[in-house]
Amino acid sequence: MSRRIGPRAPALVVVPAAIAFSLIVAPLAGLALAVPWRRLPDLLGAPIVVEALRLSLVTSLSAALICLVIGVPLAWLLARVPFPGRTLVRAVVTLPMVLPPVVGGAALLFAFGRRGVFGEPLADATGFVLPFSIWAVILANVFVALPFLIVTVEGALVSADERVEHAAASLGATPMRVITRVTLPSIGPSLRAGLLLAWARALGEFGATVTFAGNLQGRTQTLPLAVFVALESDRDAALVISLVLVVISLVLLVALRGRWWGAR
Amino acid sequence: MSGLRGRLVIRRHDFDLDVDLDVEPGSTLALLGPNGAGKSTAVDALTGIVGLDDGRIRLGGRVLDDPAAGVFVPSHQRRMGVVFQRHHLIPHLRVRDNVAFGPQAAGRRRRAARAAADDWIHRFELSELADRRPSELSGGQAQRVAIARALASDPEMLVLDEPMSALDVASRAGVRRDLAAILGDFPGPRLLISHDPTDVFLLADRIAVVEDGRITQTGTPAELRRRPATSYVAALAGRNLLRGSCVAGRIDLDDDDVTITSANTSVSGRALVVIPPQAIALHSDRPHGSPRNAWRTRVAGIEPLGDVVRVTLQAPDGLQADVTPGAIATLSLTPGADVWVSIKATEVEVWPA
Repeated sequence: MSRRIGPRAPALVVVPAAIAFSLIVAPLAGLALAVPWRRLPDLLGAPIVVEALRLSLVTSLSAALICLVIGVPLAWLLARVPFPGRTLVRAVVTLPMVLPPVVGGAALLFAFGRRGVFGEPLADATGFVLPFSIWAVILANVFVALPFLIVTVEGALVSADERVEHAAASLGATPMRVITRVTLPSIGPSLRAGLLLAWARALGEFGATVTFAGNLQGRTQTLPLAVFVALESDRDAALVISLVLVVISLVLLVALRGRWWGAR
Repeated sequence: MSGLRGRLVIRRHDFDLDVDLDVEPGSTLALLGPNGAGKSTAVDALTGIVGLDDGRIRLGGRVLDDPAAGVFVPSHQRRMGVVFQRHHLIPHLRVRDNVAFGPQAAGRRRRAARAAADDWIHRFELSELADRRPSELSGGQAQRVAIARALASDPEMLVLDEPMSALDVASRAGVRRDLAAILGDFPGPRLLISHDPTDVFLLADRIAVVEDGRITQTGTPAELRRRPATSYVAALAGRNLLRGSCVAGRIDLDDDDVTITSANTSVSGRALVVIPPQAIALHSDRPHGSPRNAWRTRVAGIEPLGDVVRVTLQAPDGLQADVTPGAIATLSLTPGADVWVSIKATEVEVWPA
């Protein structure tokens, strides 16, 4: 007979749970152990790293801001205005979340490529060609990141108290004033979360970018692309870039969660 | 100013509302009804949250909603000051900025709007709370801020939508006093939505009773109290309302095998009988003397009601008697106990139905 100390989680749960956690931690530990820490300052200064970091920050932040500017209005429409086909629009909006990014990149190419449905008239009229430019990187980032912002913000809008908005309208506030003075301030934390999620998604984007924007160092080669290329040529550089991405991701997580320790 | 004139028709798949609302400037109409009767829908239509399916709303010289004519004035242009059941203060704004929200929306500069807000805050004796956030206010305080905020937006009409129902009893008195004062001063039409007879009978000049999407009775509080048209109104007015057939002051009740005698012998045919609960006496044995109405029944329920205890009886079903707590003890009344009922014939009012 064993003495009971307290309720215990069953082994059949604990063991697979431990495996799951290890599966996530082991690769990261492997990465950390392989990093040539002594050469780190030199490697961080290498052109492939510096250029990719600069490009990644510029494109992912631009994409996140664009998502904010155009995503919030769409989220608001989806949450507040019952229009025919709303369910369909909602489904289409979340499509890039489940679509393989390569397919997204291909779709972008067929639409906005030099020979694309919209790209060709654009190139003919203005001479502006999107693919293989920094603009293509940003567009690909927006494509994959937009749903994260919209879903987050729409969820917050749906659960926000619409009666406060009605009260504000009865006080004479125009619909636009209600949005800017009442609605958006009340969902501040979700706006921040949506922005960070969109940024994180844009920062990690690979498939759509490489397909639509190519892999040109200094022009369209972002951090994830640089990792992929460096793995072939310079494994230490690949390690360092991976480390940079892990660190940025950790910082993002901290910003998202805020609180770390404690039972919950 | 011609006040509010409205016929509100809203059709839903499971419910429809069709009510006429006329409120003179400077007078308060109460829309009284049980939950689900359509009061909130009427408020939504008046304030522009939903459009009418049919009918028309006119406030002063302006038509606010007229689907036949293609007119719909949006909420923010209706100039209806609304006080809701919950305060619905803007959570991230301090009290002063909540009250200044209306003047600012009307185009006043921040400084002027705040000055206007401070006037109302002062008038409502809320100055100590001006820098607090809504989450730092009690329910009663928040509701008084909400009232000040509605008035500060300089409305043409006031709509008070269950303004006290979310408050505890202690803060209710304060808010009710404020409401009585502002309703007295406000020159435009006032509409009070409520299911609480106390508020309505105290604050309203006229009452429209809405049940199941229709107005079932309108009148002054006194008229409703004297002559409730439905059992809902009777219960609200604190009176028993029974239906039956009357011949020379003797009424055979429809629902029960009980005959009641009234001193009023002028009514014959279908009749409404109104009996105040405090006019019903309860006894453990057949009452002495000669009460014209005496019968034996059982106690269905007992519930304290302020200073008295309301006893619900089985025959006639749901008859309510108000007795003192002492009487409950002396008669050892419990649900299911046998009890004798007596009512003086002079206390039984009869109206033709």
